[in-house]
Amino acid sequence: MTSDENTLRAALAAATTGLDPDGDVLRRARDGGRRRLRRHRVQVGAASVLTAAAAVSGVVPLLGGGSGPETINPQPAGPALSAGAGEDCEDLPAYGSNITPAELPDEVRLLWPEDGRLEVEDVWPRMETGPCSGGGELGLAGVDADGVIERLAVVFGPEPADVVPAGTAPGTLVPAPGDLEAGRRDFAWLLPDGQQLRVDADGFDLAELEDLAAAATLKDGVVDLGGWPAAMALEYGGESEPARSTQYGWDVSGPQGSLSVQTMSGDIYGSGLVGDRIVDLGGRPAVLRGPDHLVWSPEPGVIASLTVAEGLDPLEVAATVGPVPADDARLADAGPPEPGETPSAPTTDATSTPTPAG
Amino acid sequence: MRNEGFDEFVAGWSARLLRSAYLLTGDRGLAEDLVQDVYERLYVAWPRVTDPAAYAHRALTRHAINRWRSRSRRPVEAAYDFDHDRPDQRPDAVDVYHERAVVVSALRTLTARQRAVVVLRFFADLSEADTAAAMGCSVGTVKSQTSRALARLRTILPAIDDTHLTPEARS
Repeated sequence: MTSDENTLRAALAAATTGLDPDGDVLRRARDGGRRRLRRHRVQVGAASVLTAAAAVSGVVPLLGGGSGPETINPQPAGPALSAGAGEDCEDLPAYGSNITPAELPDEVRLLWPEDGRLEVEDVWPRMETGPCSGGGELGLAGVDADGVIERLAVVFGPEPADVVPAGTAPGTLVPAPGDLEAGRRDFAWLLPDGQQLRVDADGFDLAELEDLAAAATLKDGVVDLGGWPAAMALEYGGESEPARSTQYGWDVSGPQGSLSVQTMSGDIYGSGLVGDRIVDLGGRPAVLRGPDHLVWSPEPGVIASLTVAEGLDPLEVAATVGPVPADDARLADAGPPEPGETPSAPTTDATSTPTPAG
Repeated sequence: MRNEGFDEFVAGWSARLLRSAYLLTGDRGLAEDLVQDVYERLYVAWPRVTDPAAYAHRALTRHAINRWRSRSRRPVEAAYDFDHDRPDQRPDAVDVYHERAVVVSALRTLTARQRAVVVLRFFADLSEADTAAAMGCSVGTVKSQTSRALARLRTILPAIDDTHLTPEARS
């Protein structure tokens, strides 16, 4: 832990001194919860009745008995995931906005099936633009015989040097500031061109990470670790994705689970920790944490993260997650975008989203 | 009983969640609304929730970011004013108010995700992994957002700038 982090902790604590909940917070929480529970039960009951009625009339199949309801007015397809990526990538003003489900790429608009097991309470489609960036995260994992991750290294960069002091010899490991969990090592080093690479590693000693720094080069702007992964017997490795200036995000949640899908330049191992298990999901690796959390890549450049409630199997649910049409009835409650949403207010910091006027 | 333990959770976590919500929104009224909304969702989901604190942090963070994004398009209703702060009768109320204003104004310069990372990591004391889970992103994203947020805050809150120190002195 660094002194600036300690000072920040103290400042945040001081800023909330005296902020205590009202005396009736418990009553309001309980009363509000009961009201919402009643509404929830009414809605679920009504939906069941409607679904059953529709099934009787032959409009929709029940319990996964088909590919879902027919779309009466087909929606135009969302933007292609490959648009504006790679060589076509152009820097855009930094901006974040809520969008409609129809504006998401089809590969990102994923959902579990309408089989009654998992409900949909909230949906949040969003888009963020910014400078062209990519190839920024490369994960490598070594596992035991049961697929449990024993060693994990995630390499970030190249990026402007903000950890390594100017004048430091290329390849010299410099500890990055921060309070890491036990066993983890976070180092940064410079490449010969002055850019910085950084590694967050667990299960490696210093000499092994020095070998990593010596082995790392850039090929077409993307990190190449040469023979280091094989020398370290790391069975699993991600691949860098093309640079992008537009990122899409899609969060769906309900009482029985939540699903988060994002376009990312990284891989699933960046979401892993030592102790997680790498499992097979339809022929692709996925990272399983505990009994309820799974991360996988349904498409290149897309990372999905699923958390399910007790009693549900995340692998089983994830296997059924797939693209849904933008007019899926369960998405009806998604907040519509407001008019006038244009990227007209770039901020001075290319990593920022607009700040509300105070 | 369907919601056994809910009352104890609310009693034990309300102050912490309210303060986190305040730092996320910068407005006591919004923070109370946010926490109330989280409690209502939690009440419905209670029998199926194995880790209420994690659920609450996840809901709080996502709805704070969501609300912030929505409000960012409506400057008239912008968050981060002190109109909803209650009168503080303590002797050092002026100092506290000033310090609060400085910190909240600094947080205001961060993006929604950077602000969430700062609050979850340095106020709620969540680990990087738990912060990532609450925000629905990777540990790598938490790390990069933390780095950017701290870099920005160092320029606004000189008191937290330790970049002039040697690496040994920082630790």
